[in-house]
Amino acid sequence: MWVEKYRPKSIREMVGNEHARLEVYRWLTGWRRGDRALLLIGPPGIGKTTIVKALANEFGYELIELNASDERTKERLESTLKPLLENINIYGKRVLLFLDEVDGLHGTYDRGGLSALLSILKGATSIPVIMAANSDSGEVIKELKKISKVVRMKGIPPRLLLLYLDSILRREGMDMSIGDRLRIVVECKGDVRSMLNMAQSLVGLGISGTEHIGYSTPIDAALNSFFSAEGIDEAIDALSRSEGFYSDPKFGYDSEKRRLDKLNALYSSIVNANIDLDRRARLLEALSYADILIARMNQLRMWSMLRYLDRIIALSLFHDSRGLPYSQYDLPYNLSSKIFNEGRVLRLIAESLASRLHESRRNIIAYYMPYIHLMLTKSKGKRSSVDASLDNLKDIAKSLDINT
Amino acid sequence: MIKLSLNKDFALPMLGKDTFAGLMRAGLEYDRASRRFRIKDGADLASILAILREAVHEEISIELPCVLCGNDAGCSDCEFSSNCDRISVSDVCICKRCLMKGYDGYIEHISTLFYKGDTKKGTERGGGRLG
Repeated sequence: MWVEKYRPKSIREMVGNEHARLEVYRWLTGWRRGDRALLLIGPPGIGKTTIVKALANEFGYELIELNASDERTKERLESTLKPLLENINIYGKRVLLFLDEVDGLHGTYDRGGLSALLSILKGATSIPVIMAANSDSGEVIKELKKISKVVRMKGIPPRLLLLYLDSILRREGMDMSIGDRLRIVVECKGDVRSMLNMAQSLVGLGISGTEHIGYSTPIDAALNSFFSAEGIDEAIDALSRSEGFYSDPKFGYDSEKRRLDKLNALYSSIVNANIDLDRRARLLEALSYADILIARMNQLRMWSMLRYLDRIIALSLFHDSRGLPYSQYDLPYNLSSKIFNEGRVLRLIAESLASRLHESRRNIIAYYMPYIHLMLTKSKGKRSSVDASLDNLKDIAKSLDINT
Repeated sequence: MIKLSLNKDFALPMLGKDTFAGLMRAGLEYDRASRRFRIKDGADLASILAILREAVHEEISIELPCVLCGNDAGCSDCEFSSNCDRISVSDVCICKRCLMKGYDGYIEHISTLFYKGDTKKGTERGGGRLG
């Protein structure tokens, strides 16, 4: 993969974020025992990990990296990091600790991880610690910002991306039309990783001419082409075209979020399609495997696997998805309107019960409501059914003097 | 249209106390002597633009400086102008003339900033906006 092959070995070989790079460089060169950790914040694919790896390489640090794929519970962090931070010379080499994707510290899987990390970082650390996060918000980042020096990084301006892309193509001895290069640069939206992956895919496919670039078809057109494709090659091509352009993304514009949007678009089309249950089940099962695969690729940072993704999805869905129409809605209208109406009543009931029972609305809905619903259904001698649920909710609301 | 250069001082019409305070909070600096404004490093550009747009009722655009020569990068004439969100990209770019120097020219310049100590020297030597 070009992303790995051309990963800059030195901080000066990178493009964009010049101020941030200089700041990180100065931080590390001026680092003294007990200094605060450094927190890099910025969108994916702009070089946060690369900066750290390049600096470690340049200054001869042994890089110890913990990312989202590692278990980061309190016990694990304490057993891994404490000895490291207290015994600087045990390896006979300078050590740089890099905690990647700290915004992804998970409340359940990484139980106690945040508090352990905070307590470790609050103590005078004997080695430099750099953390990286994609998001600038959330409880974890809020806490980490208090005890770190924050350096913000942004997307790379298109002209600098073009400069970099040209240098990679030259080193590869590849030629690409200016139209293709401009389009790739525009569509990667400041994400170097995305740009290199797109360029490599394009060169690998041996396609030229901007009309053939598979990254600019709106999602509805791309999925309709996928569903109506007659052969598997045509289907793969159509699916790969949906990578870059979403007029109204649910998850976001960066490349990782766009992959989720693609899955979501496939999901909404499948659940809305007028097909028999077995076929729908097969399609949803195939899609759920793709979802797991994407999550693992992101978690394990296996970017080299991404190039197979569209093929895998296309092959697993191809047989059962012929003739489906694209749909942007997760649920059919009759069901979504029913859920909307019930949800409105449910919220009112939960609000009223929450204040009476000194509980949170969330707990009322999650733990109390099923029992109330059951009690009411049984007392009325009805069978529990979806149709009876709104009536039941209205009964509950009435008994609580709530005007629905 | 008002152009805000990230590397140059600029003047603004009288905007009132509240707008002025909002701009200062968002990361604008005001030099009383020259009566000109400057955008600080790390300023909240989105807020600055929103406040100014509301105050002056005019289109405001951001002009990025060139990392190599320090002049304006020429954002308004750039081939990517309609696709480049200047608020969400890093705050220096490269002008058309310096783009001709290629990646090697860029690296050479960046190297002087990183490896020759004081970054301000780089600026004095005719290089860029860093330091």
